[in-house]
Amino acid sequence: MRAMNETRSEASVGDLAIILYPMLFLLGLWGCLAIYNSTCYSEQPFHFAGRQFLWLMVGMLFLFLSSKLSFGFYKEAVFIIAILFYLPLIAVLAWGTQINGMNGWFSWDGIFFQPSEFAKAPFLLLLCWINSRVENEFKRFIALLGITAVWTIPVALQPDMGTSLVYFSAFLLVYWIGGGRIKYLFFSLVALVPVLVFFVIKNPYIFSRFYGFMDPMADPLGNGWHVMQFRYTLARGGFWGASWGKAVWANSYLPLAHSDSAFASLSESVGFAGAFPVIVGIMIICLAACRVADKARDNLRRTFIFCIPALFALQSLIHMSVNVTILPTTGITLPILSYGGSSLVSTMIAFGIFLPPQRLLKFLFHHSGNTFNIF
Amino acid sequence: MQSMDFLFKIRSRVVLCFLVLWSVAVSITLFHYTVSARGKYLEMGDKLAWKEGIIPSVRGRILDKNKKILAWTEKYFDLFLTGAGYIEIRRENEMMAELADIIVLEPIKINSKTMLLKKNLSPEEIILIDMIVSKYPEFKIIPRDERRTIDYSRVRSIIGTVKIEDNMMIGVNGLERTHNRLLSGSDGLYVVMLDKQGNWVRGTWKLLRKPKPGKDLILESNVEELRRQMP
Repeated sequence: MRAMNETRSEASVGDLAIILYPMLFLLGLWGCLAIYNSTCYSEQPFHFAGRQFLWLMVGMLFLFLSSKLSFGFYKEAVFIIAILFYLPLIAVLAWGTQINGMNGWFSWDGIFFQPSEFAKAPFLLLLCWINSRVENEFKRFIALLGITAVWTIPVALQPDMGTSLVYFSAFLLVYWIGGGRIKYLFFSLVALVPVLVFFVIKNPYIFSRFYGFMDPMADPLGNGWHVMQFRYTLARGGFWGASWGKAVWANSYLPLAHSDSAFASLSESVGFAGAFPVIVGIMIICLAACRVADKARDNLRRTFIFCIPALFALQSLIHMSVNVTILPTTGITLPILSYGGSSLVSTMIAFGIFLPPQRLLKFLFHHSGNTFNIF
Repeated sequence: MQSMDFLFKIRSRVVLCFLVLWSVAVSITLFHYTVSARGKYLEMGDKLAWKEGIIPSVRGRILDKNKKILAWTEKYFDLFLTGAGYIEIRRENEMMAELADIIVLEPIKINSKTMLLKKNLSPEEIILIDMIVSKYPEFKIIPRDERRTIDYSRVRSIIGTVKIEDNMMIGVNGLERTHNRLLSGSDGLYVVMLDKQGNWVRGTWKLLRKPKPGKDLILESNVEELRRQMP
């Protein structure tokens, strides 16, 4: 019976691959087009889009390679993987390259490597592993919180507050899904308050960003500048978009149009009609993964299958909310669609860890009309 | 194990509901700005970015009866540094060094904020410094019309002089004044989108009204006769 359940679980995850592989690739292609559009008025319009396409191909390769290894391998090697990906987080503080005020990249011959992006999946795997292993409720909470602090502090010191927020969200997600107590979750949120206060005092620009977000019309050329630019960009897109190569506003006014403002930039080119499917696509990935996670017997695997797409959706929604101005500016990129090889490849690897390609290959090369059972 | 399965199902559904509701909120807001409130924000954005500009009409020439040109207009381009004294010293030094590598500067202080860096740029020089001017919006290339006359002082006093007011050339005395309307023509009008540095955005320039050049004034005497007319 147990063997039957495991086989059923394997089959379901395999079915998920049939949907997720093409969807991730399509999102990546959509991202390349958005990046081209947001930089088409620059001196080298294909520079960023071309590089992103190359990274997409590398990402697809890594998605395939990481999925070739069995989940059991990741389960056994979780500590080694965690240490291997944690050490660069420390090393980058000493030997990293600074970009946009953040000391978060290693550079090698024009190629930039962001360790905090690559560390996301190993960190989540470690959290899921601890969550499935430690029985005692309090010990589990302390262990998860401790590990989160150890991983988040070097990222916050870069300082990369957007990624730190994603790491902390991963902790909340794993602890909640793993059946954690609400009062401990509440305690961890309260414990976060002094950290936030310290951060706000140290970075007074956050106040002006917040005022600008609350009432952008009051100072459209000052504090409200970014919020107003997002709105003007979306308005220019309209329902059908300003068409490819004509996203004038994204090119001229949006801050970091190809990364932090990717969704607004995309909306200008393809309008509501082209941006809404991205939201739907991300939610479909999340819902499909949840459906499959339900069928997994192994607690670690189930939590991981659910948390990777959920975290992907969470980060995407934060980015999109900033771009449609329902959240203040945070500097979080849109996974897979925003420019950045590290983010793209690491997201693909994260999906690859639980997506075995066998069923996809069988579907592509020996499809005999069998139905597949995602929903 | 069964209770864990149940707890997982419940809690994962809570997370999913939260994410779905959030995505609905994002979609509604997206629809609001792209469709419902589009007109309002388009208008506000246009006010911020689109600027109108005047294309000065070319002033007509003054010719004698033999069609010899006595007065004509020439266009020159000057390079200015604007906002001088308000730019960070390190940045200003960097800007000036980059520029000085390409052209020879002859700086003249115009006022506390503006400095004329080079008068009468040649077309080759304009092409050379184009990248630097786009990179540093504090540098401005400003066109200037100059009225030239034939090199006979007696004839020059008959032709008269012009002054420039609001980018328009106006006759002050002599024939330039009496025939000002005929010589002036009418200015053209254009709109262009500016980026946040104040540079023109490629492909956004639109002509609203064509400039009409002034008409040439042909005199009934030749140069020698004009010279004799003067005491």
